[in-house]
Amino acid sequence: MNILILGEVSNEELKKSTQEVIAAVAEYPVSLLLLLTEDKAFNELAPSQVQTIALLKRTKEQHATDSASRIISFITEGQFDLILAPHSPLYKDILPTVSAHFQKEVATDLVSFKLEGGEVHYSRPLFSGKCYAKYTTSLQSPLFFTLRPNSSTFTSTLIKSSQVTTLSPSSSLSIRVKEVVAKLSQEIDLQDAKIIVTGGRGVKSRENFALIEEVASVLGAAVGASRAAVDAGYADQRRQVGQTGKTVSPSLYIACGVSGAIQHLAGMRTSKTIVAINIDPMAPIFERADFGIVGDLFEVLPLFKEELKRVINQD
Amino acid sequence: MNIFICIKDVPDTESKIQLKESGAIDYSALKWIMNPYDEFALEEALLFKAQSPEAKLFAIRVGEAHESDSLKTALALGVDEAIIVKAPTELGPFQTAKLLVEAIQSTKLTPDLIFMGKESIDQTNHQVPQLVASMLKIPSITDVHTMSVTLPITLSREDEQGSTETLEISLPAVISCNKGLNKPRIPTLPGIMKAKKKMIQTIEGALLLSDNSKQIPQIILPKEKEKGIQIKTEVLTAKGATTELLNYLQSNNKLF
Repeated sequence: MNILILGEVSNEELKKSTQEVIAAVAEYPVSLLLLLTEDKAFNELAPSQVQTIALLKRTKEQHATDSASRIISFITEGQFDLILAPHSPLYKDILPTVSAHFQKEVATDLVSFKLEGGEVHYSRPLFSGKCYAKYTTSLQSPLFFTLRPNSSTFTSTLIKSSQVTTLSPSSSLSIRVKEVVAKLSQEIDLQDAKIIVTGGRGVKSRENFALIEEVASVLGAAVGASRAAVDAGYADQRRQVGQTGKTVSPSLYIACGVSGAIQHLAGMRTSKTIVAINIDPMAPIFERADFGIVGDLFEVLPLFKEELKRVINQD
Repeated sequence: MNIFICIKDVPDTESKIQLKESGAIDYSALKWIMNPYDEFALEEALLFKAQSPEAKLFAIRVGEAHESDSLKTALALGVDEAIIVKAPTELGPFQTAKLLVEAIQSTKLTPDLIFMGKESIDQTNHQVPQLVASMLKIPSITDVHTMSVTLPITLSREDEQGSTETLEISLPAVISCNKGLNKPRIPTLPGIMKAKKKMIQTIEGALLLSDNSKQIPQIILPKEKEKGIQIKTEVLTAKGATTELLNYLQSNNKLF
């Protein structure tokens, strides 16, 4: 069984979501392929399960899409049976271009994955998580899967790998990158975040949204926004959580001034713990919240922020 | 310029999903709407046509036939031709892409631009645009939130780090559309009346599917959530409520 993990690097480290994918096939040795722009580096630390690491570079002008042909060759030469990647923006984008070459689709956004007895057992959400589809498939190599981040707990010990090779960029340039405007650094990615604090229409203004950001900052959390808040201009589109925004799966989701429309729930219903603060006792969010406070977020959040700071200082 | 828009009908978000006795999803009672992301695809095509009036717009849908067909909306909004490829509702993304390509090729016209929503809200596979592009041997650019309607085409999307990347592409290409790309217009009454005279061409998709082995999943409905803890600041005061929240989070190891 030849397993290839496609992964990502952030600040020279193997991303947690990539480690999670490796852990999903914990009993098997794997090969790892990482996509990087030529200016980025990798610290070469990976779980001991990883036998070989290939760094696939691309020029700054190239889009990740133009690395697809290299990935296809790598899979063909390595005769890989299973190809797994995190369900991240990068692999959501390019993995189907790779799988199409092999006349295959990708089983995406899996919330469970198990390799057992020569069969693959997996499940994925449908209808914004209103139900789940469980599949069992026998190996018809190659098969392609992406796994939803934060779907499983794992621990991994990283060791220095001695089997790292660098693959040169492909010559393909079907899409030219003209410019990249970085988001504010230090911003935690919603889709990787363990804790998210979201502001809804109840926050009432862009200036007030700073309160959401302050609480998130103390918690080391990412900041989200409901569609109503984004449409009203309180927060940028990239913070939107929900059906036409991002789907998140954090350990803790704190919804402040969010009514809890179905379209919002669609984006965060798999959060492990949901806390809601809303002045309206009839807000639908309370039906999904594990812990709800019926009250004014402008009273509760500043107090919550102070309590959190006190707890941190105690530790 | 030949522009194709691939749209999908999906169950309305408010719909409750129910299972038949066989364990399969019961689609009979569901209300169908145009996949929200496809609305951005349709609008973008219309904006292109406004800039290039000689452009021809084709709307294609793969799925079961039903009354509230979003192809009718597409015609009412001004697409020139509409094609339905009749196929089962639960078709996978690869088969869907194959049928879309068949429909595009049936027009005998070379596509310049193919617009689709980035994903459908029911299956969220996020791959049909890329699969279609691969099959046609052209590039796909996904999750586009900004786009020029004149040549040369530049467009913007969020990259894997959340930064905004601006890209330059040449045609033909498949564009998968994200929220924020444009503001979809609503059909006007004259548009709806004109559309009544336009025909929707039909292709029998089932005949074109070579591989009939379908993976049948087991559908699981999640357990009803247990009622959570709810406290009111008017009873406990805001300070009291905050303390309770903190205790709850700490005892459940939710912090740090």
